[in-house]
Amino acid sequence: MAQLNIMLVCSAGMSTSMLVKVIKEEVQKQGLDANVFAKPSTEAIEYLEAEPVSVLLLGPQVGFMENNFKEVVGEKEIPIAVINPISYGTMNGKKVLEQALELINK
Amino acid sequence: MESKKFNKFVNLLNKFAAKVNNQKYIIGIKNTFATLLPVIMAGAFATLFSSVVFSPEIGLAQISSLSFLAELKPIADVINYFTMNFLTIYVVFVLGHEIGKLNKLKGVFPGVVSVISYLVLNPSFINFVTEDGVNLEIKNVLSRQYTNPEGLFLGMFMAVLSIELYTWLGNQDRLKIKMPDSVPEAVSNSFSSLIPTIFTVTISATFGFAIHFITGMYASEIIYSLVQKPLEGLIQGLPGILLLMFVAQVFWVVGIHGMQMVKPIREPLLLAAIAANTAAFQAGEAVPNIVTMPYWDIFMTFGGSGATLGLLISIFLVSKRPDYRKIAKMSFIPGLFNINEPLIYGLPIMLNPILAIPFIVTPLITGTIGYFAISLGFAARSVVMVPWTVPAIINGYLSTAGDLGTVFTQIICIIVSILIYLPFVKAANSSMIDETQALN
Repeated sequence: MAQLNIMLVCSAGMSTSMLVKVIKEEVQKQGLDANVFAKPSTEAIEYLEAEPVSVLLLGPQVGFMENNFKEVVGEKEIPIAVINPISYGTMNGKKVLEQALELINK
Repeated sequence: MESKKFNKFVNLLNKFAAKVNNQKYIIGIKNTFATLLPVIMAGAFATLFSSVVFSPEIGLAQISSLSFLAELKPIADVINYFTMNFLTIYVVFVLGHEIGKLNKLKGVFPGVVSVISYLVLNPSFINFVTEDGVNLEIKNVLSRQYTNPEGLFLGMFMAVLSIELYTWLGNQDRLKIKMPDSVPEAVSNSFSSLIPTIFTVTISATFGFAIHFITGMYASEIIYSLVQKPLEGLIQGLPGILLLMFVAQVFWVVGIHGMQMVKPIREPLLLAAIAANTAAFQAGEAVPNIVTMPYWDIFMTFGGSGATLGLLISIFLVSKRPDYRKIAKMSFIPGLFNINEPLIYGLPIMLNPILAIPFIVTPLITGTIGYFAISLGFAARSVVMVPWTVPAIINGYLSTAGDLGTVFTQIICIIVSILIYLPFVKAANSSMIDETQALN
């Protein structure tokens, strides 16, 4: 069981899975114990209710769903944020990982 | 002042997006069609197989040593029939289940209630006139029009209405059958859904009976001609589909997933349109619809939303900006599979006054070209559902079961998209505006 579960969500889980790849590389480089994965928005809520998630990052294109997810994870207190659009577009795994870790440690 | 107004506009769109997305029935409809895509795909593959392998006219079966393949055609036909022509039943079941889930009901049973509630509105006989003019009533059959996409809207209404009723009835304490504590939970659970089920189904059937009694028409005819047909006419016409695309693009320009916004309207209508085309093609009838789900993918979103394949090529041709070239290189492979978030957020196109113009305009123009090419008979109507991640050209070829006119039209559309994006990419070369600042 990995220590950290970083979940990314976008519409179909396509572009976030590209980002997941670069974040995983960064995780390995930094020697972290983290499980990074992407889910389409249609499956995200069910997953959140059933599985452990340490932090939830939303693709900017589905940023409008932030409040939805906040309601769902309300009691579980999982930090949620929208990924910075520039980091997202440039597929900057390092920056996004930083954002995730900051949210967890807050 | 200008930017204040613009911010207000962006906020408004964001609020609207959140509202749409929170709407229970819209979530249900979106999830339903996402769940059912494999069903449509299975039917589409059966059709593709039937034409390229089993067909003695155009398929492999025309080779004499492989002629036995024609005998296997029924396999493809039966798959096609029970996927495409049964789509409404599956939609009603899954939507009922989804609404049930959103209402915090457990299990798949609400899906069953929903299917029964829909079916009881329809006549279980058909009138058949023989060659001698004798009118026969054939009992205990369900006509195809109630299971194929013609029944889609009534089915969706009934899924929502019946499950809301079922949920409400289940929450009424007075209707609960109380079991002693010693009764196993599974048993008492099945009893607790007993009364709501009986009431829901009875009310639905009575409702259907009353409509027929009062109007002389079945509910399906009324909903189809009053709601579904006009909506289909609107969206499947050129102005309607362009408006839908325009709305989606405006959302994308402010960074919101535009396709998500139009999905609840687009999916039921355009997926039904391709299902109808597939079924007609398989049956050897005239293919009815120009505007279908593949039409959207082939002519308006090659490279991703905004037909950005043209933008990518324009950047490679004329962009002097190293940041543009870097993002374009990174986006090329995903772009071939119609994924373009890196371009939208990295270039960025989002909140970029220069690139927003071709981003909105290009799909409208290429969509129009595609529409006229099909109307003139130069390109074919799509008959096979192809996933949106299939690259351009290949998707055109596959979705029309191998029509080269469509492929040629697609190439023209790509060239046109390059020509539209070119001047704007050039303008961005000399632009002094730092787009990254516009985001902050």
